[in-house]
Amino acid sequence: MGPVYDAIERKLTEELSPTSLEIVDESAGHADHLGMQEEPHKFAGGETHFRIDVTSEMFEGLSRVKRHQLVYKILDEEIKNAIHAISINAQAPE
Amino acid sequence: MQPLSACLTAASIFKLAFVVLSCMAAIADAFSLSLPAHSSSLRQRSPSRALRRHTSALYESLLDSAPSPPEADQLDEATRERIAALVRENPVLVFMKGTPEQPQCGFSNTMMQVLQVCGVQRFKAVDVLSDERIRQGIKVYSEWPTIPQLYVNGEFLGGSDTAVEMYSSGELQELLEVAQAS
Repeated sequence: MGPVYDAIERKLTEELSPTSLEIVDESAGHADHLGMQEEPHKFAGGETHFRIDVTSEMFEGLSRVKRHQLVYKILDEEIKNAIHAISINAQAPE
Repeated sequence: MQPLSACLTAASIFKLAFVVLSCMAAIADAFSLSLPAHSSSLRQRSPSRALRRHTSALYESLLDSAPSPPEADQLDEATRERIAALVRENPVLVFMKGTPEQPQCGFSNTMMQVLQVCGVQRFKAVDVLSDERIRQGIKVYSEWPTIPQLYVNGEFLGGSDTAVEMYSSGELQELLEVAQAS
């Protein structure tokens, strides 16, 4: 997988010890966007839109907002520099 | 998905505007009125799927593509107070890209659609594209790096994904009812 994908996987695994983690690169679905055509070099490599489904005990007791904020904090670098959009589903184990 | 022409010509702008407007036609009237009867079909389908189909055809820019200078990550006192006042004074408040009539981003569009389907009669929309200080400041204020952002009763709820989730669970409608009664 690409470097951004790997970084996301590594960081989330390290920080959250998730019981389940699924990362989907959804960039291809956005390839026809205006932004992509204005700056193709930026989006040429995919790795711009991700969907993340993560289950971790660390989310227990946290509100939805706090869970997302935690993931945002962990992936701060990727969000600032590489990722264009991110969709998060953060669950605590049943 | 709506195909767009390869270069940024007037024709492609027109096409994009048409797509945006045709999706927004219902919202443009409805967001200030109660939910019209024909929108009930939206409720019968899975809401998140219907909304995602709408948004996938539009230009999506969840994060700012323009790099922000380091100072922009600070939240100056004047801007903080402005945001705090907005949160205080508006029971339903959305920071978005574009306007409710013409969202400039797929995720902001999703947010508008969720509010419409919930039958929100009155809400305050702040277009961050027209105010750079708010655009950067709100991300620091909410500790949330993306737009749109939804505040209900002074509480930050999250972005468009959260709005869809809370709509599906019914939580959002409850909160909005309280907000609109105040």
